[in-house]
Formats: sequence, C-alpha cells, structure tokens
Amino acid sequence: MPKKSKKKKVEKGKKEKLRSHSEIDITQHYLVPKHEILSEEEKKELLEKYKVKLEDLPKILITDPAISKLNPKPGDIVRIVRMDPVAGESVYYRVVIEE
Amino acid sequence: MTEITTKKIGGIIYSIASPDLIRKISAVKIIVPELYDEDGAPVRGGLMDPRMGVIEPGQVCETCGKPAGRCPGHFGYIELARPVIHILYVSTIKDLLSAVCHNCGRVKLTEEEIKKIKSRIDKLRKQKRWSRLSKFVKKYVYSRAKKRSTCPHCNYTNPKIEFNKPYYFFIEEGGLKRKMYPLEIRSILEKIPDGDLYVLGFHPTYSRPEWLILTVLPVPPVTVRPSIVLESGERAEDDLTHKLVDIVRTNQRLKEVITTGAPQVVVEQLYDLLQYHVSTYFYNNVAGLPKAIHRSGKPIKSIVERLIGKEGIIRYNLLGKRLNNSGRAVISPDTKIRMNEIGVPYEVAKVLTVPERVTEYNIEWLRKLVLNGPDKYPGANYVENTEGKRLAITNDNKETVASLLKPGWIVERHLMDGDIVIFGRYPSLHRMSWFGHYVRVLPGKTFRIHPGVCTPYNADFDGDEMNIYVPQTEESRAEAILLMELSNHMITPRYGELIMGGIQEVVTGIYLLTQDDTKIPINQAVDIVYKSNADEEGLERLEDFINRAKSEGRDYLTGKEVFSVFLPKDLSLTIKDVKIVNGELKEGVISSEMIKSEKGKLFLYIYNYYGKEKALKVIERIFLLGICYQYLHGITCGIGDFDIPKEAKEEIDRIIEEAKKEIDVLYEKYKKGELEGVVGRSLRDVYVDLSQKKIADALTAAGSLLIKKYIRKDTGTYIMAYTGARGKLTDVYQILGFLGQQAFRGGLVEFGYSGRNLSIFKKGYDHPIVKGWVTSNFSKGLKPWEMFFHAIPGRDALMDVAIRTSKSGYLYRRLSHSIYELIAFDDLTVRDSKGRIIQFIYGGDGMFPQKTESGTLDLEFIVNEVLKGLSDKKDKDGSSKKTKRTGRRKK
Repeated sequence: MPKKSKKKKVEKGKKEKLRSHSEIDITQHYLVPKHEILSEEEKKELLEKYKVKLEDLPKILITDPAISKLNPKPGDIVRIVRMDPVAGESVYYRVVIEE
Repeated sequence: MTEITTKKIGGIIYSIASPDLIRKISAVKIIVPELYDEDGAPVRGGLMDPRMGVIEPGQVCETCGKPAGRCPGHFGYIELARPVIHILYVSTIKDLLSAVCHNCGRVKLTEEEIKKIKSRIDKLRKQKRWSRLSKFVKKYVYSRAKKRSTCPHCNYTNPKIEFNKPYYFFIEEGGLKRKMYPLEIRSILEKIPDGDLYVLGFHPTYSRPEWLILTVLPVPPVTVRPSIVLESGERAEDDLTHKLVDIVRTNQRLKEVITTGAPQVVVEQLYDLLQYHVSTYFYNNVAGLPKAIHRSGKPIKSIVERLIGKEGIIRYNLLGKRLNNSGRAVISPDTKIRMNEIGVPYEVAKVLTVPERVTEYNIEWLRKLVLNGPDKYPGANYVENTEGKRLAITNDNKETVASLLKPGWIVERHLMDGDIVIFGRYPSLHRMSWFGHYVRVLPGKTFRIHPGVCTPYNADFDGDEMNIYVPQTEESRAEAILLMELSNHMITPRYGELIMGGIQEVVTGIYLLTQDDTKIPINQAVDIVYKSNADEEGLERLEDFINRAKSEGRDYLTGKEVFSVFLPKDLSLTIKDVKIVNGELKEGVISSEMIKSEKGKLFLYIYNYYGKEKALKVIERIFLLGICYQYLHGITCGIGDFDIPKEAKEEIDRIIEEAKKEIDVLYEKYKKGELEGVVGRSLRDVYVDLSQKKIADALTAAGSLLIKKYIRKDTGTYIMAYTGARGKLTDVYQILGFLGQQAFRGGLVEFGYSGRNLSIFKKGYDHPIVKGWVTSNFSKGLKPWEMFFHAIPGRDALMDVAIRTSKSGYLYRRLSHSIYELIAFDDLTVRDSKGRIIQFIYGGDGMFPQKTESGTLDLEFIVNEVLKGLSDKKDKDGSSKKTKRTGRRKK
C-alpha cells in the first residue's frame, strides 16, 4: 500500500513541527486566563460556600495544557480568573480529574 | 395504595434473537395455515390462536389470564423446514462469508493482527465509542480479511464467493459456479470461534452469526396484527397475517415434499418461494424482488414499512401524539378587542369545553347550559357524575341530564368570554410565542388577535394559522393566568425592553398627531378619543383639556393635548426632545423610538412606574388613537410620491456619471499598477475597496440631494420611511437615485463565463459597471444586464434562507434541549438537575437581561429612585423596613 505510507510520512513531518511549537508557553498567551490551584483551606471554604461535593464542580483534565505547569493532583481545585469584555472579571472553579 | 418500588435501569442490550430464545418466548407453535374453522372460531395452532393474546373485549387470554386491553399479547413461532436468510442481514452475512475461512471458520488474519485489533476493540468498547468501533471493524478487519484467499491458520484456499441480489450466494468450485444454500452458509458461520467473533465486531455472548439465518420464525401476537370486522360482517385480516399464512402454507408444503422425497427441482422451487415470502414479510421494498401483493394488486405492508418513515409507527404514532381540547385556525386582526384577549369563533367555542364542577352556587346556571345542549351556544357537551362516568349531552337527553344534575358532578361547558386559554404560533422560538389569553367569543370563522401582539408571535395576516389550547384543571388555569398571561411577558428577556407597541400606521398616526401644528376641532377630537376606547379617567382629562381650550378662546385641541388624554395624570418624564409634565405632552414629537414595538421607551417607563395593567391599557388606547387619527389623514403610497422635476434626474445622472469617471481613472491606475498598496491586502482588493467607496458616496450624495431639494415631504412614502413605520429612506434612494453595487457572497458579482459575467461584456474588463453596479433606479427601470445583477444576489439570498432556517432551527433545538434543565439559583449559581454547578455566577456577571435596559443597569438612577421611594414611605408611615435591595449587582 504505497499510498498510505506516503500519507503517514507527511503526518510525521507535521508532528515534528508541532513539537517545536510546544516549546511556547501557552499560559503566557493573552487568551489563556490565569489558572491557580487553591489551598486546602480555600478549597474547604469554596465547597462550604456553594454547599457542593467535589464531583458537582466543573471538571478539568489533569493533562490540560493550561495547568500542566502547576503540578496538579486529582481532586485539586483550579481557580480561573477570566476577563470578559461584557461581563468584566469573573471567577470560575474547576476540579482536576484524571484521564 | 400499593407500594411503589422503583428500580433503575442499568442499561439496554440489543442483540440478535437466537432460535432458542424465539422458542422460549413463544406461547404457541404454529403449524396450521388456516385461520378459522367452519364455525368461525380460531383454529388452535393457527395464526389466530387464542393463546397468542385476545383482542375482542370480554375474552380472557389463555396464556396470561388477563382480559383484552390488559393482555400484552404473546409470541408464537414457526419451525422452518429449511433455514432461510434474513433479508435485512444479507450484507452482514456477505461480509462474514468473505472474511472467514470456509474450512476452519477462523478469521483470515494472522494471530499478530488479531492481537492488535483485539486491544484496539477493547479500548473502543471501554470508551463506549460505538460508531468509531463499527467504522474500525469495517475498515480494518473485514477489508483486510477479504483480500486473503488462503487461510493463515489452516492453509486452506478459500473459493470465490459471488453474491447476487437480493439473497443468492454462488460459490466457485473447480471452475464451476454452484448455488450456495443457507444451510451451507449457516454451517460455515457456526464454525467461527467466539474469540474471532469478537474481532469481527460481534459480542459472542449475545449474538452468534448463525442466528442471522433463520431456522425459527417468530410470529408476532394478534394484538400487533388485529383483524377488523367490516360492515358487511366479513373479517379482514392484517397484512402481516396474510403474509404469515403464505409462509406457513409454503413451509408445510416444503416439509411434505421433503419427507415424501419429491424431485430436487420441486423442493428447490418451494424452498425459493419460502425464502421470498419470509423476505417480503420483513421488507417488501427490496431491489430486485417483485413486490408481494394482495389479490387487489395493492402491495403488502411489511414490518419495516410499518415502522419507518414519516407515516411509520415511530414518527407518526409515538413521536406524534395528538391531543384534545386544542384547535387551529387562520388569524385576522381586531383592534377593538384587548391585547390579552383572543376572538374565538362560535363554531370553535362549541367544541372546546371547560370542565366545571357543580356546586350549589352554580347549579342553576349550569343546568341552563345543559338544557341548551351541545348545539345552542352557551351550552355543554358532556357531564360526568360522581362515579366518574361520562355522558354525552344530546338534544334528546338534555332534559333528563339537567334534572339529574347535582353538586359534585362535572359539566363540560362551552368556552365562554373570560375563560383563559393558551394561544400561540409556531415556530415557537421564544417564550413570547405562547401567551395566556382571555376568550372573547365572536361571530366569524377565524381567531381574532390584536395587531399589537403580532410582534412577539411574529405573525401577519396573509394566511397565518395559530393554535389554541384550553386548560382543563384549576391548577393549569391558575398557571396560565399567573405565569403565561400576556401582560407578564411584555418585556423581552433578551434585552429588557417592551416587545409590544405601535406598529405600522399607529406609528405614523401618532407622529402626525403630535406635530407642533396639529389642530383638531373639538368635535373631531372627542370623536377619536371615544373611538379609542377612553375610560372614565381619559374622558375626565379630555373634559379638562376642552375647558382649558375654551377658556383660552380656542375652538380646537392641539394634537399633543389629544395624545395626553391617555397618559397617566402624574406622569412626568424627559426623553431626548420629548417632555411630558404632569401627564401632558409639552414638547417634542412622539416618534417610533417612543412607541414602536421592540423599542417603546414611553411605554416602558409607564410599565415600570404604573404596572403592567396600566401599561397594557395605555398601549391599547394609543394604538387605537394612532389608527383613528391616521384614518383622518389617509396615508397611501403611490407612484405619484416619486414625481421629481427633470433637473433632479439630470443632477442624479451627473452624480452617477462623475462616479463612473472617477472609477475609470482608478481603473486606469490599477491597470498600470500605479495604485498605492495597503499592507495585507492585494492590489485588486484596494481597487475594489476604493471603487466601492466611490459608489457608496455617490449613492449617499444622490440620496441627500433628493432629501434636501427634491422629494416632497408630505407624501405617504416619505412619512412612512421617516417615522419608521415601514420602509427606510435608503429604499427611497433606490427608487429615485440608483440601486448601487449588488453584493454576491461577500464580494462583487463574479459569475458566469471566464473573465466576464455575461457575453455582452469585454473579457477581462474589471470595472464595477460590469461587476454588479446597477446605475438605474426602480422608477426608471433596470437595464437587461442590470436585472441579472439584481437577480443573482436575490436568488442567492432566497436559497440561503431556505437552507439556513432548517439548519438554525435544528441548531436551536439542540441548544435549547441541552440547557433545558439548567436553573439559576438564589446564590446566582447555575446548576443542572443533579445539583452540579455549570456557572458560578449566572452569565459571568449575574445580570438578568430582562431586568436591564439593553443590557445595562443605571445604578445611580435606581438608587435614587429607591431612596426617593423610601423617603416617601417614611413620610407616610414613619418607619421603613425595606432597605436597598438593588444595590448588589454591579454594572
């Protein structure tokens, strides 16, 4: 199957290109909002404030590139501070889950 | 009460029914092709065997002991003399035969390949990516195994398989083609080991491939194929029963022929017939097979045809349930009813009913209604006694029913004035598509609606139909009144402004009325105020105005005074030029901005300060006032409105000519490459942009010239466009000036032949004049090629709309279904039905657009108003409990 092998070669080339791109720190990009991991105390406070269990919060994958530099553990809560041109600053929380 | 136990369904597995399963779920083995004996009783072991369930009332099922209606019916089975291919599985059988070794039954793949594929399937199964799994199996397993003819496991060279539609398989053996019978195919499929089935996409615990070939045919219960007794007393059987009779008969004959050892040809013929009958029983629309027909020539409806399509059971009966107490009719306008009313024809009111409980307080009234019967209008159609038995009222029994009537009964009386109904128009794209309306029973055959509610319904009267639903319980009526009634939804939740207000001639009427120099003789003023449904308060104010005018020595009222009649007495506000002091319009003209639907600043103010009832009243009165005054004026639109002097036309021609010349110069520059480039744009883009700007400038120049100097300001067309009632001033420009550039798919008209649009143009000429610039106007008429230029984007828009409506409709359906269960809670979080948080603050800012003005809140204003209200309250009762409650939300 000569056709397929040709295709794969092209894909490999692409991947190499992408790899060189991944050296860019995307968390510094202006479109990526600020992510930070809550301390145990803050975590407790948050769950108490909204009267929810951990699994009721929105989720974020542990492999998410935006938090890869933060050393997340499953069960951590990530605070995301977003800027919206209409709504202004808004805070969002997501719980880290395993894949 | 019996205790209710609840169980959660963990999952549903679909699989192929095995012969054992079919035998197990069956109540009867069917062996007799006859349905009834000489006495008309169903034959035991026949297709109408009573053990398969009962359909006639009064009988009891032999299998489950339940009466008709409660007995769900029970399957039977036919033991087929020879196996038969299931027509809906031929393609699967074909794939399997070509992927599997006929000798050892293994997949024609090496162990290594199998191992790889297995791990991939494991992963996909775990992730529940079923569509991906099926694609993968088709693409990598079957196609690869098909290519091999030698089995890697037993080295057997597989013969070639040929498939002939619809269900014949041929095998090439030693250069000879031989027919392959289902029995042989089945024995090959039986050989496939479970491990290899997993690779082939089967789950061996639930489905074995040999079950794709039928040895036992399940017979659906009689409840699925009920027989109908015709008026003549004859019995007519269901299509499926007919087909099953054919199958049983052929099957029995085949059995006999085999046991008696008849010649091979006869057996083969019968075998083929059985295959045909079984196939058409499942699906009677197979390509390459003649359709099975009744004696009348009508094709028999197979199982597949029963279920599938728009008229199938799924879309017609299961998804398309019909309901009572509803109606649909053409709508027409009626300005004399209230906006929250709906005119219902007598014919409809006599069919739709409201159940009314008889008490000792209303028994006399209801008795009268019962005595009127179903045909005389305020009557009743049904009564229900205390035992819950329903009785239709007829003209013969109405007297007896009326005398029997006593408290506790329910009378289903005709729809009457003041009843609440739910009324709306499809497509219901927002919640303002359905309102609670109060009934007004009127003569005529259409539903009458106030034209003011056309905007939320998006209705017009060119044949639109709308739907009515009559709530049947106290709870639903209460909900309809308190939650759905029209005045609760005058403010759109999209941006917080009034959706209802003046439309069409109302806008022009009020605009003309509130001009500074409008004078109305007193008698005429009184006339239009009365016609506008003035109430006590309005008439009082009218009297005040007339007295004032008389004391000032006027024999007329100003238009502003007449308008003020319907404003609240203590209304004071200033919006732009409009100044209202103590309920009187002092300065300014009421334009579309103040009263038009979807804007309506004036009405919004009244709504906020005087409540929904008052706002509704004011809108209705001003609506009528606008219409009445407009009648006095008479606004029409005609060709005479566009008469302009010759000089004007010449001047416009000059403007066009100048623009043309300027573009000629640009074109020359562009051709020579002298145009100055812009970063990120091609030279042609720059040229197009510049020339387009010249055209747009010319159009505005022509337009402003027309408005400034030539067009008459007192014509209907101009007034309509200027007041915003209908049309825009740009439409006037297009009629008298020129049409301008026709845009097609976001650019010039680039269409047709290579290098040119039409064969009359020079090739390669890139001037707007040949790329969609229309220099003629509508009053002069378009040149032939210009007509094409104008028609191209017109047709494109038409097609686009036809495609987009269906696409966006489906998109909206998916969106609304996915956010259906989300609720914004008190703490401003948005959560789903399981309490999981979706948003921490609703919309990121906690703002509810309905309570804002175009998405913003004027906090200072609100705080001031609240403080003002507080000090007012303090003056009255000395104490104030309520503190600020609006201060929390930030802008």
